[in-house]
Amino acid sequence: MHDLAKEITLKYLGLSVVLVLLLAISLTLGAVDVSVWAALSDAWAGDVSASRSIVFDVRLPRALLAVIVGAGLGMSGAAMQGLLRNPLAEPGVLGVSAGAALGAVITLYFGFTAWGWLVLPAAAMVGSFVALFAIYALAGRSQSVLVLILAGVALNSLFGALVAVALNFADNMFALQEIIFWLMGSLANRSMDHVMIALPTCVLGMALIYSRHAYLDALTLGDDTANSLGFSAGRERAMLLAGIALAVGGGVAVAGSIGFVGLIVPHLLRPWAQHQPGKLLLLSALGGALLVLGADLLVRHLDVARELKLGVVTALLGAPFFIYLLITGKRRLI
Amino acid sequence: MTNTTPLSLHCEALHYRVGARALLKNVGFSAGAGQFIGLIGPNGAGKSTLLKTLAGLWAPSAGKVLLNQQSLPEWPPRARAKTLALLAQQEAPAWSLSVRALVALGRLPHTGSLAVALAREGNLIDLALTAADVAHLAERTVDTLSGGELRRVQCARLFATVADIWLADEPIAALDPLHQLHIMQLLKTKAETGLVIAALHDLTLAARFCDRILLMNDGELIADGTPTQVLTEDNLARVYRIRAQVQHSADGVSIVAQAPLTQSDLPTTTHAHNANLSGQ
Repeated sequence: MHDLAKEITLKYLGLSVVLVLLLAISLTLGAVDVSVWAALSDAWAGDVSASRSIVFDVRLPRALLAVIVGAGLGMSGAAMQGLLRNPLAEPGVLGVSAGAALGAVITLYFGFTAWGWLVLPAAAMVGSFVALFAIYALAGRSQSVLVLILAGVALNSLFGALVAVALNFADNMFALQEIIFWLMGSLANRSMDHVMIALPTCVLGMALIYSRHAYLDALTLGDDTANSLGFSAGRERAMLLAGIALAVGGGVAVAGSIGFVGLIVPHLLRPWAQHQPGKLLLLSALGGALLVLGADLLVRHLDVARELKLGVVTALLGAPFFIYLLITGKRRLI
Repeated sequence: MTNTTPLSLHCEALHYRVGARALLKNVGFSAGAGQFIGLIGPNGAGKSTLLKTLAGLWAPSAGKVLLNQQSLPEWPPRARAKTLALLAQQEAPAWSLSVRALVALGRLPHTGSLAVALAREGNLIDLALTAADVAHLAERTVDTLSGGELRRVQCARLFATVADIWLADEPIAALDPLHQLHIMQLLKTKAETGLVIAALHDLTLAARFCDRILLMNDGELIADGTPTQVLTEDNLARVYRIRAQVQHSADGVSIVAQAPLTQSDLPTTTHAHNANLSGQ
């Protein structure tokens, strides 16, 4: 038993060390060659300098956002898979990402973004909550996870169609570009303001999700057994969905929809968690942070002149990997 | 509340309807500590529905369930789970946990966390594993088990709850004869201090181990009494539509199904004895 605890601590420690290393790398590397130490000493001395500004106003918010958004997506993915008892589920399945994207697209299409920088992220969060409440109205009464999945599929198609309608009505090239920018996901040109939006929402969402880890473990044996073990399905599910909406909505608000993180990360880390859904949550948050930070590093250095969208890179990495998993995976319980 | 009131499970006038279909019709009985009750009846008789209603998972359309004289919906879920545990008919694990972790899930009402259960309640989990004769499988993952082995692991999960009342839905259906006897003996031992209600299809084992038999058909409680009172050739013919031979010997009752009956063979006039021994 003691070795097991040690082994698990090692896994968390290992992931955290790699994460800190990646953070340091993403602060150091960039289009301009600046010394992090010089920036630190400038900041310490209170001097305003180019290196300080590049490291702390450009690279740091971007790296922090990658960590926050990635952690939120990773943990939300693990929570969705546990909730739906399905390894192929991810935040997109319940329409939470689509709802957030619709919120963003609507503000872009009607030009509400001119009202202030807060409008867009707020609309994305409202969109994810609208998706959540719609799901709850459709499936909240039912104790069945199947109804929940079907409701998610229906809402996803609806929001997807509405996004397409909004895209169709976009009247200028600029609007279309902005829409593509948000739907593909990107961390370019983010500031500390964005960090201040994403940090509280994602952290609150993740805290809500993590507080339900025991229910996710109990759900391993199905709805009936989980209920018989003293969990009230309605309350547990409502808290999990609210947590997912917050974590995903906060992420989509500042980075657009970044796909595949919530799908791939829990899949890869499940053996590390001995396949226990509760234990998988924190590991997936760490793994999601790593994946998005790594993917963003790749985005920044593949082609500096014309940056690829982050969501494109995660899809390029994630989709072939996922297909590979589907082909080689022993179709056992996973 | 468990300390002051004696253990009891009581239901009256239970109805459960889904749409136009009535799955439970006017079911009522009382049970207390010291009983091992076999719940029998043909497929679709309402056994699982009754167990889920008694476990508080499904709210009855009409009627009420009292656990320790307190209405079931009034129980906080976690307190209820510590007193009353259910082994569902379908408990297919979604993830390939280790056997030990799956059994540890039974401790969730007490620990609130799987990690805490695994770290602190190893002895209790070991006891449950040994009781269900699956200790040697403890470190295997559940997806590598056979159907019968998995069922025994799920039984161990039920045992690990240490609840006063165990409701088990077909606990022994997939087991080999040795383990059928083994699990039935365990349930009987549990019933010396607690209450066990098990849905069963093996009538001979039900007759041999249970103190009391509830016979259900088409959502109704047809008979309630000792195995000898309930398991009559007449009852079996009407409810199960089989011609069965019921033999009483020193070893107990044995029931052999001999032939299916057609509609014309069925006894029509006599109605079942409702030997209600709930007040015993």
